[in-house]
Amino acid sequence: MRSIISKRKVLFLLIIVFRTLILYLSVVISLRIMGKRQLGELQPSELVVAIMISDLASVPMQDIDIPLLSGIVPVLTLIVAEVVMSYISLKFKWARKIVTGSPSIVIYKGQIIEKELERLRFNLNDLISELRFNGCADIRDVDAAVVETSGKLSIIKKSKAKSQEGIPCMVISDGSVNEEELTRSGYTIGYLKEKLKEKGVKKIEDVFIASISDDGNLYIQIKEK
Amino acid sequence: MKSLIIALSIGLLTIVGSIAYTNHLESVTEQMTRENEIIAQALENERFEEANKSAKELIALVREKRVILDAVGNHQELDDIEKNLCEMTAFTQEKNKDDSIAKCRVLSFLIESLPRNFKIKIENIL
Repeated sequence: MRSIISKRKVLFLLIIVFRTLILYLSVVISLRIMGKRQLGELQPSELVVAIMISDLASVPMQDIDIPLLSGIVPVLTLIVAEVVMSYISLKFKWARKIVTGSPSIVIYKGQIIEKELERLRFNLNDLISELRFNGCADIRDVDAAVVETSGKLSIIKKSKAKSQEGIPCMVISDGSVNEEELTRSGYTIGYLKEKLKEKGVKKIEDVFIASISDDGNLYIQIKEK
Repeated sequence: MKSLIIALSIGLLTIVGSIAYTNHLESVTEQMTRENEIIAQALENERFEEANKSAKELIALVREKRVILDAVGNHQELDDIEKNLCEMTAFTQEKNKDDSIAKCRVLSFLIESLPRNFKIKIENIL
């Protein structure tokens, strides 16, 4: 009796193994049909497809009461939809705009485009950290920064970009003083206010971003009205 | 372009396969319904031997078509049909008219619901 039960268990497990292998193969083939471009850089629609495929394939993998085809057919349908959609995007500009969106310029000639940041719901800290991640510590060194449709930030540095020794201290961000950064810069609030006055800025609230570089240079960008 | 052709071929194949499967499913369920009606008629007339013979034929038919039906349909639905068939056979052998007829009605409902779940209808899509 015990041997019959254990034999059945092994057979049951083998069914799962076969089903998993079939689903694995169909997902791999489907992703190959989708193409290499999609695997390297996921666009929003491709990300959705990738997430859905992984979920669809896992359901019939675990439950042997669900037919394999009910996992394979939706996966294939998604791939067909994705390939057709990317072909339409390739041929028609309007479709490309709907499906993938368009890149957004967030810094142009060293100036942050506030409205664009707001539209993208991209905060200043994210932008600064992305700049640092791309080896650019100072906004002044950036000629243009573009948020690509894949969500990556591309940076075009100025031809004569200063090579910074340290990271500039972002003393004001979005109209409020960053105390930690101010302490790190070694300057006082009084000095900062004085410098702002010299540059014609009356209130700290009017400043979108202000940073002090290692050599004491103050960079200011006023908020857009 | 190559992947587009492959994708469109898959799409076309899925549609053709789906239509062919639905047609086949309808003919199989029609066959099953016919067999079940014969059983119901025999039970109404208390011809238990004939009902038992037809029930065995229906069991054989379900087993024969199970591979195709299982390929797309939920396995649980076919398990329910087989379970009810088994119970109906037992009641028929016992010459229990009321229970046999009750099981026959359940079977009729289960068989009819098979193609109903595959039809392109708003309630199936939602």
